Amino acid sequence: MKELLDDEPGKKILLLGNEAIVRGAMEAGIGHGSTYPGTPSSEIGNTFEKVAKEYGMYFEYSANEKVALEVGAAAAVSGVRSMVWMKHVGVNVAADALMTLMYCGTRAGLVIVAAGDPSVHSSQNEQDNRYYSLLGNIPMLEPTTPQEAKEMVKHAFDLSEKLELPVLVRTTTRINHARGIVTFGELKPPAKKGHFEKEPGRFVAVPSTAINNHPRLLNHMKEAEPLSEESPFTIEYDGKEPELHIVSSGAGFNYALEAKEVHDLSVKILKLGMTNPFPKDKVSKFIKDAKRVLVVEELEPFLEDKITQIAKEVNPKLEIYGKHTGHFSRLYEYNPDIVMKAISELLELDVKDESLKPKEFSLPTRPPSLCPGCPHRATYYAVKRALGKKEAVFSTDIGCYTLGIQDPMNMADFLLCMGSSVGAAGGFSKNTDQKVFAFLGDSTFFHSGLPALVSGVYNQHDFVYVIMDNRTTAMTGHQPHPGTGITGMGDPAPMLSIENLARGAGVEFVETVDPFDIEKTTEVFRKAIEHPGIAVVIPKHACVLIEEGKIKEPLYVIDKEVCTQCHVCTDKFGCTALVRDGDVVSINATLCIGCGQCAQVCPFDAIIQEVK
Amino acid sequence: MKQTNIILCGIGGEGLVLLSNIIGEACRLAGENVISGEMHGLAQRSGSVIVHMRIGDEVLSPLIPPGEADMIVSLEVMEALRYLHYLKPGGTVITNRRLVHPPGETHDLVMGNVKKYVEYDEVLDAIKGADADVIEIKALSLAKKAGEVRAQNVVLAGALSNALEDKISRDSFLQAIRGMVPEKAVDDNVKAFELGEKA
Repeated sequence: MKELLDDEPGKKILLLGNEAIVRGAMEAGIGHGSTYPGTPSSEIGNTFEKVAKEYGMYFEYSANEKVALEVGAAAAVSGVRSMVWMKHVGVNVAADALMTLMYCGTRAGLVIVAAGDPSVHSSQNEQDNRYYSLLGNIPMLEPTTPQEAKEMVKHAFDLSEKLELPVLVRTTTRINHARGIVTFGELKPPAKKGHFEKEPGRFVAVPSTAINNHPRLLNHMKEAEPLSEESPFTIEYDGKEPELHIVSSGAGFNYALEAKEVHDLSVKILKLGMTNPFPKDKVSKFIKDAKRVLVVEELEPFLEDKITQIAKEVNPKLEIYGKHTGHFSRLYEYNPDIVMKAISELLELDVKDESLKPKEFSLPTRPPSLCPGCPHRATYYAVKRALGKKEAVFSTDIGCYTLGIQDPMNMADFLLCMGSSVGAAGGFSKNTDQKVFAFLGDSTFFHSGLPALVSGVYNQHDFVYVIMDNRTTAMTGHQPHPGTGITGMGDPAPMLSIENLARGAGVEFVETVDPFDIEKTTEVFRKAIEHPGIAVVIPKHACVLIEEGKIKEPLYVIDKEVCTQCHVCTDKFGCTALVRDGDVVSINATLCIGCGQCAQVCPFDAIIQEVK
Repeated sequence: MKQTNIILCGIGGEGLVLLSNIIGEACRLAGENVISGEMHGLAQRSGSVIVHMRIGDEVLSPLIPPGEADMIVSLEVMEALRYLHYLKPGGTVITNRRLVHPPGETHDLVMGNVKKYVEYDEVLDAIKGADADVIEIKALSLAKKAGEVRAQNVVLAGALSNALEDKISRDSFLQAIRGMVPEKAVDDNVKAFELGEKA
């Protein structure tokens, strides 16, 4: 990825959308970057990890998205070009800061990249973040390709400075995780350290300030209107004697353009690059003489509702097609097929479905699952053993361990968002007589598990608080966090102790245990269950996918002579490397990593290490 | 030149993203335009993974419509069947000669929902029965032979390179591999590529 630092304008390299975003920021002379990792935005941070130092900027993984934005906002008002990025739901965490930051505005460019996830590939919802631009009065750009993502980020810094407002670059999975050939522009040197010029009448959000800042924001948004009308990213694609007009933005545009080009359709397309403020004049002109317009946008009818509103003034007879007419869904991401179907319905085209139709075959599904050797599996197993026949509510959280929802564990009963396990566990404990567990990971604990812990101790909640410490932010691709002893730029950092934090919050029962020792872990959980109040258990073992957790032991095999085919290993423990064919159990040698958890689980010592 | 659409599929954690990187980089080196739609994050944990790759001047969106893939390259046979609806009639499936049972299948068996595990040959027959040309590659044993058991993806890159030879030169592929795999594994991966070419 060092190629990303090449100052060779015109050079073409293959980049993931997220890498292109990093390049765009460096072409704008970024000085500060902060984030909390979240799919599909994570590779932006992963890339800064590799280039920030050499480029000469500051980059950090903050404890959560709100902190990341606050850190970035301070940098920007001190005159340092800054970028803050997060997944779509991360904006919910940062929203408190964001809404008032819009009132205060910025000095140096501040770009916020919010990555949406239509089809919920890796998220808890598919909310359409474009509405944040309306809620907060945030100028917004929507890229459609990696190249455009790079150009837009660069442009967003200029826009932000011109308007003295943070600018939102709203992406989705098919931009962030599209990989394409990107042409470099000129690389700018990183922003130098700034100096904060005090201006309390603007930057201290008390009522007397807010009362002036609100009109200030609205005025700046007024100034943004002509910039949106003239946005270089808003492009019209002409069609001869168009039978249909299309307005589109984001990923959906690619599919509309593809339909036009591949099927040589006589349609006109208006691609909107800047969608807040809405380019009213541009759209008015486009639809004024049109008969029919189709709006192509994923998720909510954001553009469609605006166009409906505008059409009332400029072309009341216009037929508007989209989500309200059932031509498109408000659910999930689109693809070329979905968009072509809607177009062909309106143009009465006969498009044959030529896809292969294999004969009925009942294929088992393959959802993601805990890896072979994952310490979380051992933790879950130990909790189950400790509980025996006792019933319990499992309040879970966001991370790999959410996969505990699957068979044979079935240990996920309630989940909303990052950190929700802890507050909810308290609520269950106060309002039911059930035994309650909260499961969350180390990174999630630092993100939002801490305030809920403090609140739980104070309100005398009663549950077992399981902080599954695998020494990394695993699910998003192994980013460091405050407990890992390393910063986002690779420098050593104080290693925050979860134990000390819990004890400092007044928790009396705090036990750390290696979940690979299933017997001992079970014993700790037995004690924790009996403990009144909050009992913190920290099963601590590094993720087997990171260097610290790599296992170099010989693999395990089943001793067929000893195996009684009791199936505890397959049916209760369920490591993905264990295969059961009829009653015969074997271990898939290409999946086994030699962790030995199953050998501990086997009641008959029939799982042994292979002797070479 | 005409557009080529390739679906790459397999199981998370087996190097599918690296495979798509190698093909993408080989395209760039050969002067071909390319775009891909990938999956990262949660889906990578032993789950079913699909990458869409589109090569050629006319590439527009990062997703391939059903029925328009020229080829499916799969690291596991069930995944080839899962995404077979993307293939155009008469298209080619290059599949690893390997079947991995998903954990849910074991559970279904335990619960009595299914009577037996799915078998490799029945999956292959289902693919063959649907107007697809099939090329089977024993990628695991070839990768082992090359000295790098994790290079199954690169073996498949070798097999795929034959089909793309008029678009992407062999040298472009080799240069892409050298640039993208860890330095100490270069020789083994080049060997894996060559074994895939000949398979």
